[in-house]
Amino acid sequence: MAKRSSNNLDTAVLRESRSPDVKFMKSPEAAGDQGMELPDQASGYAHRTSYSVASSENTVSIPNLQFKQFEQEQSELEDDSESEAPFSLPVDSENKAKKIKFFSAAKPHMRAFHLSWFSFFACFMSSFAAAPLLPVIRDNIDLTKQDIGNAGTASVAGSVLSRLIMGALCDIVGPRYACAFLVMLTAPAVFSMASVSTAAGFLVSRFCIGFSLATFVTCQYWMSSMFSAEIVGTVNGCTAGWANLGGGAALFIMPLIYHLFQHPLACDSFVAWRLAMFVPGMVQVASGLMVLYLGQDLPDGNFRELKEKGKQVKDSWSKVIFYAITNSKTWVFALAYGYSFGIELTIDNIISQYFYDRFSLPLHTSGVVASVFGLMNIISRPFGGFLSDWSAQRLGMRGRLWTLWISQTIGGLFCFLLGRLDQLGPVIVVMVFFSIFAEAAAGATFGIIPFISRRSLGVISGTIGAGGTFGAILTQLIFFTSPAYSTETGISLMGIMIVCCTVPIMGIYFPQWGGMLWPPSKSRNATEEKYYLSEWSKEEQEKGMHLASLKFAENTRGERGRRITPSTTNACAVTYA
Amino acid sequence: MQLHRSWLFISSLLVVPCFCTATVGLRISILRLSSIPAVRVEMEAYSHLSIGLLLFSVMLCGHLSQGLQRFSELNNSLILEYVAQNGTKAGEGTISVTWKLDTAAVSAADAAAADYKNVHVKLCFGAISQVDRAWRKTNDLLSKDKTCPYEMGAQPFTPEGGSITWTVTKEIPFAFYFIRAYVTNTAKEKIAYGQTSNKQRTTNLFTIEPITGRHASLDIAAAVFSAFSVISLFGFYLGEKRFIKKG
Repeated sequence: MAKRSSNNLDTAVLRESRSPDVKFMKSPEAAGDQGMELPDQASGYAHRTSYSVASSENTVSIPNLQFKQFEQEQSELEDDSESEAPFSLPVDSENKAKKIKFFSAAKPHMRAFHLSWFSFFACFMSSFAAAPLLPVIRDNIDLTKQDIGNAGTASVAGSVLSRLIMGALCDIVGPRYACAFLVMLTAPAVFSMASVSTAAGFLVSRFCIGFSLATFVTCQYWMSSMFSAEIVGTVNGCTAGWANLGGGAALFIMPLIYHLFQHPLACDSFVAWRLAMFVPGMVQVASGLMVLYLGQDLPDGNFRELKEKGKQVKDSWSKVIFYAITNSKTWVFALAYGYSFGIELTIDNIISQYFYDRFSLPLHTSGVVASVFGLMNIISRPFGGFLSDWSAQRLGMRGRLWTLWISQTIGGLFCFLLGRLDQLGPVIVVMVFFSIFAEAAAGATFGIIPFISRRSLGVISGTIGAGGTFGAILTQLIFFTSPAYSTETGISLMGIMIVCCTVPIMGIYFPQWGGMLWPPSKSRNATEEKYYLSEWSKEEQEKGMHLASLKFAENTRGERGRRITPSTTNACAVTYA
Repeated sequence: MQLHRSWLFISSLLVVPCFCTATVGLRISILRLSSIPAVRVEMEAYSHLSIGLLLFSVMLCGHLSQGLQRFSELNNSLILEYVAQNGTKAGEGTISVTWKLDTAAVSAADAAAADYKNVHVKLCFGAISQVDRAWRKTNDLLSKDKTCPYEMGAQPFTPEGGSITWTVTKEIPFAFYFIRAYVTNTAKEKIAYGQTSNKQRTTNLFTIEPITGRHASLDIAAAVFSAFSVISLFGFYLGEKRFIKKG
């Protein structure tokens, strides 16, 4: 295979092409393989592994480290071909998995997958655990409608701030500790629910529990670190979708636990609900402990160990935040996500009362119907991520942008229709379709986010996630608090707002991949490397801090879609099919 | 009746997509396209969705049997007297109610002819406690009326009257209450009533003091679990830091 050296002479990185099979444990065609197969990208572009050296403060030592590393890798590889490969899934040059196997818990990729979605699921369950028990709680604490509404808003408001902070925290201490800190420090808020006796206490408790929804950011960040570009949309969609189930699952599970305490264990109703709140709290603590003991930040190890060994780059807070804020794509996607995921949260809060008031369904039936909206997440959000990845194989990043825009706009139109109908049957059907498209749009958004930036991935994920819940708060305040609008008018207006807030996606443009309405730039400077290196200054590049971004840039070549011809990896010589 | 026809239409609207999703799921399983787990997940979701829709339509069908009686059509033919302290404690305190037929409104013979069978005495929310609480709303349609959720007792009807003494149960919330007794016929439909308050439900109200539901043991358990959570987190964090420094 041909040796190729990088265009950028400053990097001093050695690259060597090799056959893709060395690091695999099982071949993709093995019988009984339950992994998800994507069309093999090997024919699309040459599979390369590269060795790069992360910085240490001392630039003089780089050449020495380089050779040592090279020799190490060489012997490692000789061992590989004889004994077990280090990973049980096929990996790319950054050791990120290229395939996913749902029923495996192998270290580190699949284990991280299951830990992250489960801890996020536990947090969602805790945040919405009080909702189905409200008929008992409102009698116990003597709540009015305003108290309940305010507590509902508070339960999602806390996560706006925590998602912003969590992005930065992930970049600094790693997703494992960020997740564990959040989960274990919000568990006391869940336990404190057992002791509330006033409306104010209830509101504060729900607000503090709401902080835990920032596990979303750690989940997405962790998955983006563990899984490679081709599959990241599907993986992010799966973890977020299955975790969002927690909202619907809470509506099913909490009443069952409450009845368990009430009848077989003969507790008073006002005591039984307090005991029931212990269950999501304990699940949260258990998931936090599992993340600490079983999890790993990156395929190569944990943040701290890698930092100690000098393999992980130390970066400065202010620069990371600066590059996140000045990137316009962050804000466009924050707005768009606010009107896909934020709408989902709004609907979760108001739709049960809508069925109760407008169609006079009894309370438990309204709850069951309302939970259908959240439970659609099991397929719709992963499907959105899958659709994003599938369209990327054919049309690259342009396909991802179109997928997002189409699904979110159709969702907005179904939302508009939802408010106009007044027959129960059609309303339910329209609600189901609305949920599919809105949640698929949320999944598709996170198929694009890993590509916006490499340096500030955590902060950007956090900002966009915060934008999601901010959209929920804004929509609830504008359309569902003022007595000027009836709920159905509010829903229709919300549908129109979704369509309007999706329009800015048309303005997104990557020079190397194009945008929705414009093809990629034909200039020689329109490369993945140039795009990701623009976040690093000359001095930082001399220190070698940008090498991880460079590796990442190579792996994103697939976002050009089918235009790439097999043999050319030199960006200047890309020909258009 | 119009109401019943619309429920039938709605239930069938739900059963149809339900069967569609079930058959789609079955077809996919027969064709065995399950090499992609995403499709398999969708298949399972199809069956879950169809079961959910079936259950829901069954539940809706169950509501076909709602009555259409109105409170305004009932005769106010009972006189009620009660004894209840303000702030009666839930779980301990008692309320006694005495009811008898108002012969000025309805004579005993008319009562027998109208099939006065049973008397149900209920605890009802006063108007003050219904403000900002839509789940306690008064609705003239008896099937949707939520004014009187708690049953204190039931007795067979006699023109001389009767009385009951009820210990306040522990699920009663704090509110201003009055008492209403419904007379039901053999078909268990409400045909008459009597209440201790006026028509607007604003006079003669008394309060009940509820249990808090809090216990010292619950508070302690919550504190212990919270402490465990925080301490184990920091213990692990510092422990790992030290371990790495040593290693």
